[in-house]
Amino acid sequence: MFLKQVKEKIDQVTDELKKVIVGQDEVIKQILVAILCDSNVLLEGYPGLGKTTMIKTLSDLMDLRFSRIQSTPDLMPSDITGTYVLEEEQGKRAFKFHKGPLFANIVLVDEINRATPKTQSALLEAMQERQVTIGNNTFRLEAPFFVLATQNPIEQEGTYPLPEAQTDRFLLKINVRYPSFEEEEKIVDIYTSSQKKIEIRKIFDSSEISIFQDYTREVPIARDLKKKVLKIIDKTRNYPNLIEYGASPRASIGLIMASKAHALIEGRNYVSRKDIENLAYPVLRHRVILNFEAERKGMTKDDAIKEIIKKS
Amino acid sequence: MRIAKSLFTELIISSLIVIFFDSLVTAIFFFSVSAFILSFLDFSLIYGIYPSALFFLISFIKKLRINKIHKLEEKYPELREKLRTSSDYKNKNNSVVMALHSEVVSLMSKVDINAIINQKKIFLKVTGICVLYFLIIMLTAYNFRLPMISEKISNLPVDMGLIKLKAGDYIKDKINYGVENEYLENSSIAELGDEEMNLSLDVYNTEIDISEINEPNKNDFGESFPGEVDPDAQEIYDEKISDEYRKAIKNYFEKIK
Repeated sequence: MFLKQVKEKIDQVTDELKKVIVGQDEVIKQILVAILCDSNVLLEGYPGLGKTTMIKTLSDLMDLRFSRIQSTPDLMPSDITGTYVLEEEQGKRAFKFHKGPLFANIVLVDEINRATPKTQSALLEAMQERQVTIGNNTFRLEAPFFVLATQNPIEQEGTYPLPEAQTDRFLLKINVRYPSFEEEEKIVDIYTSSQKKIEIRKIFDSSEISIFQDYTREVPIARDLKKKVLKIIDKTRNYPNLIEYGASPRASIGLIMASKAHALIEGRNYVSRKDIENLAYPVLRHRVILNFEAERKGMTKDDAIKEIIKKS
Repeated sequence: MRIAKSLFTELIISSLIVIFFDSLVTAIFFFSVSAFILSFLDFSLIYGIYPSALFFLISFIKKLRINKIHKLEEKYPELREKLRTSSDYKNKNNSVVMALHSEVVSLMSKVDINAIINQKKIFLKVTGICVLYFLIIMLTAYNFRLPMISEKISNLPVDMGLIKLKAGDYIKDKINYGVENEYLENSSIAELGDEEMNLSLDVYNTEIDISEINEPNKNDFGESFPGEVDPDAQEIYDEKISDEYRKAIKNYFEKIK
């Protein structure tokens, strides 16, 4: 019965989101997968595709605290983690810690590739450790904690691309595409015809998210499917025709977890082959590096992943 | 968890029984075919037992290796991926897995015996066995066979070192007396047949003890044998024939000239 409840809740989230976001169904599903896996997402898409709106609406639906960080080259680590400020209280002066925007449940980091490597590493440390260290003090970040970072595929001048070792910490890299003609027509109708704010109701809270995350870990995966996952990851390391550098064991863990979350979202109590094949793309596209030959042929990472799935 | 464990245990036991039965029927069918051919060619039916036993073993082991869970999933699409996942997690106990086990147990109640055993094939094999044995009985009753092939094979020489046997005798010896190769390759055994056996037959007592093998007795003619033996031609060849008979013989030879 509880699987039905999970499916109902997820469907309600999707339905509420569709009031604000038109299309992008696959993007929404993959973001929900990352939330259920208690992990982070890298969104890549052109400006104006509704990435910020989507994340903001999602945080409202889940009754989570949302914060947004706009990355610029002059952004300092203390700007995102927080800093000590000298304050006077009752005639006494003392340093008081002011929490930065990282101290939220959902953190949207826009154009992470514009921040300096120092700031990027401070953010990535928070993502990994779920804590922030300032001086001698360590501050734990409140659970649940998700970072959704965005990247602009154009305007690469003056940017600091995330190194592969750092992108590996993101569970999924989601490509946000342009809407279709019909979808864009709907968007135009919604955002040009009415000034009324679209009301969003809260679907579930942080305690329920924690329960759903536990369910995700409990979803079983058959032995042969587990082996399939490992074969795919191993193939990325042993395919010199296309791939220069393959995925790490973090990818194996990520793919299995993402498949389990996807199964739960679909209302299933087992992982299917389709889950693995669908999620291999967002899990692997930021973890593999194509070789010169593949780039010369004009292949994308998704093309390489498709070939690997076929051969494993 | 217990339900799932007992479900898969039952599935394994049922599969084993079905595989055993199927392999046995197939082996019996194979034996029936070989028995039919052997009886037609006038060979002993016992020659068909070894290949049938081997066939049974090979068939049983081959069928044991088939993944029964995958086979069931192919026949019942609603069980696809669920059954194998439930089987892999039969010892686990959490809320999601328990829900999966319950679902699989309820779906398995709809599984028919035809999923494990092919009733049509079994029926055809059993019918084939009955028909073949009926034909064997008919062949035997009417003594209808092709013995020349068996005779030709029987008359083929088989070289066993010092012993040369006909194939038929060799085979019969092997079956009836269980003679080992090593035994026959023992030269002292082979030479035994070359030794002269001293047999004495008693008219009134027919017991013969052939285990007593002695050197042949050498007769000593020293006292009774004459020292010199001179054949006397005149005495030997001079015969007393009357004159009348001599004249008759002489006239006969002159006439035939």
